[in-house]
Amino acid sequence: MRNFFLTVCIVSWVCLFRAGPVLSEVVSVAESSPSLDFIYVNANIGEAAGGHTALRLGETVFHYQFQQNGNFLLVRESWSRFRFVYNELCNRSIFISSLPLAPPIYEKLRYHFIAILLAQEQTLRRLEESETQLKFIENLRAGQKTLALPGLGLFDRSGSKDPHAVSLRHEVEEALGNNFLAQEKEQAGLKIALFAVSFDSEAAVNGFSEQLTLQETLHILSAGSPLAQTALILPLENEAVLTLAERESLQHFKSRLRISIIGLLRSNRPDRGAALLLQMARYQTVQRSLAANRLLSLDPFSDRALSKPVTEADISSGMLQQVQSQLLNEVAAQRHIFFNEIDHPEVAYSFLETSRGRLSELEKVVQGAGTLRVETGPMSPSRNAAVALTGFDFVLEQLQATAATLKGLVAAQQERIKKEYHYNLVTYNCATELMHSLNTTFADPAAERRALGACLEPEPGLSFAPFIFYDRARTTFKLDRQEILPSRRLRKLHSLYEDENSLKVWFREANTLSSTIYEPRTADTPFLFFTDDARLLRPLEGATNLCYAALHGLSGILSLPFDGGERVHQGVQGIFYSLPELFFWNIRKGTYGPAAVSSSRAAP
Amino acid sequence: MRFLILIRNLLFVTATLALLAGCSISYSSGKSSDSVTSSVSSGGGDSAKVDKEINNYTEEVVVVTDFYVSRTENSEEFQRHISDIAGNHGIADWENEDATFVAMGKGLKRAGVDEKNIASLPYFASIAKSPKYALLLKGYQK
Repeated sequence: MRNFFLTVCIVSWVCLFRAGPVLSEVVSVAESSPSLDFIYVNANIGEAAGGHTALRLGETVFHYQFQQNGNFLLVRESWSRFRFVYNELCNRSIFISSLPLAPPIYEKLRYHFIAILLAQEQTLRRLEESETQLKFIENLRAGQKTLALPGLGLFDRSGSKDPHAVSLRHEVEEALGNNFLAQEKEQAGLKIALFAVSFDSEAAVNGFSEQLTLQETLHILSAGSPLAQTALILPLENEAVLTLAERESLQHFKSRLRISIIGLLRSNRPDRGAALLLQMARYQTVQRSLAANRLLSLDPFSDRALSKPVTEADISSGMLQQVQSQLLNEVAAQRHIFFNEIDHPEVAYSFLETSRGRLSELEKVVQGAGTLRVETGPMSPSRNAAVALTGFDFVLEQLQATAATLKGLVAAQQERIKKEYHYNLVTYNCATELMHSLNTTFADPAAERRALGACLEPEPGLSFAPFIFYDRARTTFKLDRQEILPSRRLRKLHSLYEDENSLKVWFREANTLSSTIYEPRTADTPFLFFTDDARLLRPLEGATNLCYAALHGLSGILSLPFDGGERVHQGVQGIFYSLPELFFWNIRKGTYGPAAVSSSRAAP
Repeated sequence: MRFLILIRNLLFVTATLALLAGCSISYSSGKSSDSVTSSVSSGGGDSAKVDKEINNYTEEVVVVTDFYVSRTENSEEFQRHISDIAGNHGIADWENEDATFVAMGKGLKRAGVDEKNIASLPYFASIAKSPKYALLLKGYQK
């Protein structure tokens, strides 16, 4: 028995030693030739015990993912972001097989996936708009005659004046005439009055809101209102003063904003009020930056931002300082990009606003704030402020009818979203939807065969499992070559094997207690041995992991009154993820926190 | 006894399905600091980021223009739709961005609109006499 164990140990270690070079073998994919890349991300704990799958077209990855609100949606991410999350943070190996494509087919696929994405976004946005309108109408019915307008909160409308805002008004009058603003305000007023008397549809409520925003914007411009004090992100710690070249660049951007403001005032865009508010706020911000010779920007967080509590662990671990230092580098990089961007400075400025906003938020936390505003996705300064609607006499019966219409609309939209964007383990998951999206690019299977050389037709088998879907794609399209990106831990382990004594490294790094390249995290559930790189020893190590998790869970009974059963829950989860290991199957690999990864980015 | 076997089998099937199940959760649903760091760490400081953003934006404008023609959205809805996607890419004033009109031209071509008919379409009729129209044609003829 003893000899058997020793033999298994040695064979397993040899396998592991051999695994290093195999895992790190990377077959490079020609960047220049377009291809459709099938991606499989192997399993890890939590949300993806069966792995994950995605498609890559150029530098863009399309995949289906759960969202916080429970929807199951198509997501587009840059390859660098995708790799950072899955390969680094989630510590999962990525397998890629590429199907070379003719450029027109590549373009067709990209546009098709973008069309799915946009249709999805439009559906979700419509629901959000209808819900906002319904809330507004319900408030009116309840006697609360106010309307919150996005972007209005960027300004102080108390009656004070800002010299930069006044000079902007003069520039506008010079370009468009002295009566222009008054005439536009009158026009907007007439439209508002028309919408208010026929407040019977979604379009009317929307039109009312847009014209009211425009009217308020014109009022702010005429009055020379200053920015709201809280709308500005002031110079941050360690931020340098503006250099001469930066001042010149900022002057150019100011001129561009002036042209944009005048253009928007002349425009027929129905929603130009909101865009004008933002450009006017940015104009004042740039003026103030030039006056102070320091960089200022608008607070990019919208009213949708979540306020997340900062835990004691976050503070004591020093992680926040680490993140702060990373954000400082980010701001410096975005600053450099903005001041050197010639063709699209507005986009670069928007990135700069976002990064400064995030850094400022973190600085507040480091200085003692208990919460951190977090907003994902694109950010644009758009804080709300309410407008009083005292001058309007809304007809109660009409409001009731509109509310009923909107309720019906919201219910129908919710039903549609529930039907179209739900998750089902077997029939609607990341693999099935990716296959469906790929197939619907083409008119029929014959067209797909002509374009891709084969057709990945749905079948009643186990194709819903990501690794089976990936294998089917490889077989169907005859993809022999494969690029493998080993998980973060495996890459680090491989480096250690190259630099140190292999046996010593194995003994040290095979377990979570003495490992130097992994720190146990609560989310990973309690375990002792990494089994993703120990194929032969896996059942034995799995059994040890199972006992360890069971002991952890049992000890949790003692702490039950204090932790609400958290330790017991972790123990049960630990047992669950140890069970497959008994049958030579690995799921759990350990994960990394963003701060741990931030210091060393993924290799390209 | 049969009941126990049934329960055991059910548990086995459920566990197998759970292990086969794929898909992942948006990373942003994590802790506050995780969310901030991950959003920063994934693409910051990349000087090509602006170009990538513009590329994504123009691709979306191509598709939205195609939608506009093929789904007969009205002109105002079309403009709002462009505003929405422009806002997602850090562009407040899309009319002041040449790439918008080049992409619209490309979208019209994809939708199969005859060049002679462009100026008769709502919205495009309103820009037919402006310099934007030349950009539109540039995209159309690409």
